[in-house]
Amino acid sequence: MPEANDRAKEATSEGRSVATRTASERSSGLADTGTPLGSRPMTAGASLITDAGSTRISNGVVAKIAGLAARDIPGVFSMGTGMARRVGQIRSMIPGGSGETNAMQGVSVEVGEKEAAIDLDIVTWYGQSIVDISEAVRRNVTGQVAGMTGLKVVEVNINVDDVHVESDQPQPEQRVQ
Amino acid sequence: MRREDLAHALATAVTDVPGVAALGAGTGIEPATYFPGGKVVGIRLSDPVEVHIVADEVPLPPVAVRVGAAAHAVLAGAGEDRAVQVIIDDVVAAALERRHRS
Repeated sequence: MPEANDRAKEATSEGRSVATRTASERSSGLADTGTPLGSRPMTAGASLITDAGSTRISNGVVAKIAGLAARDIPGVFSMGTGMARRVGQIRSMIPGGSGETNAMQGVSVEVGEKEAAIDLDIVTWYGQSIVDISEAVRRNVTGQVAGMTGLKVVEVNINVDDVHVESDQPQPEQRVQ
Repeated sequence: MRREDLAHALATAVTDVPGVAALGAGTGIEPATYFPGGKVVGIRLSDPVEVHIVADEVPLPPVAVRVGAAAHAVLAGAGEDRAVQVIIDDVVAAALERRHRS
C-alpha cells in the first residue's frame, strides 16, 4: 500500500469520506502541525492530542484502512452494496480512469476523538462460512485500524449484502478470433 | 500464537499423520481459517477445533485417533486447551478397493 507512509504523517483537514482524494491533498511531513493548508475549516476526524501538538486523522483514512483490511481476507469477494458495486464496475470500465478499485467502497466510518465505529458491506463466496469470514474481517479491521491510527475500534458492523456464486457471470464464448 | 501460525502448525502436523491423504475441504461448506492474505482450508479454529481430513487408510477410527492426538499435541504446545473434533470428509478410492480385495 503506497499510502502507508502518508497515513502515519499529519492528515489533511478534509473530513468527508468520499471517493475523490487526490495526492496533492496529502500534507507532507511530521514537521507540519495540524494547521490546514490555506484556510480550510477543520471538519470531522480523529484528534490525537499531545502537549507538543495534535494529530488529526480524517475519516477517509480510517475508511481506507478498514476497506483494505477487509479485502485482505480471502473470503471477501467484493465490497459495497449492489448500487455501489455497479457504479464501481462502470467506473473501472471507463478508459483512462484510475483502474484500481475504490478502497473505501462499502465502508462507512464514524470517528470520534479516540474511538471509531466501522460499518462494512461485504460480498462473500457461496459455500464459505459467513460467520468465520466476518469474524476474520472484524479481527483484521480492528487490528489494522487500531494499530495504524491509535483509535479504539468500538464496533465493526458487517452487513453481508450478497453471496457470489461462480456461475453468476458466465464468460461468453468468443465467436470470432 | 497467532491464529494463522496455529492453523499452519495444525495443518502440517495433521498431514504428517499416516493414514491422512490431505486436509479435507468439507462437504457443502468449506471449513477454513481466514487471515489477511490467505486461508488454511480444513482447519477451523472454533470450539471444538475442527480438523477435516481425507483418509487413505481403512479402518477409519484408528486414523481419527492418531489425527486427534497429533492435533492435541500442537494445541497443547501452543497453550490452547480446546477439544478437537476430527471430521473425515472423504476416503481415497484406492484404500477402499484394497480393503475389498484383501
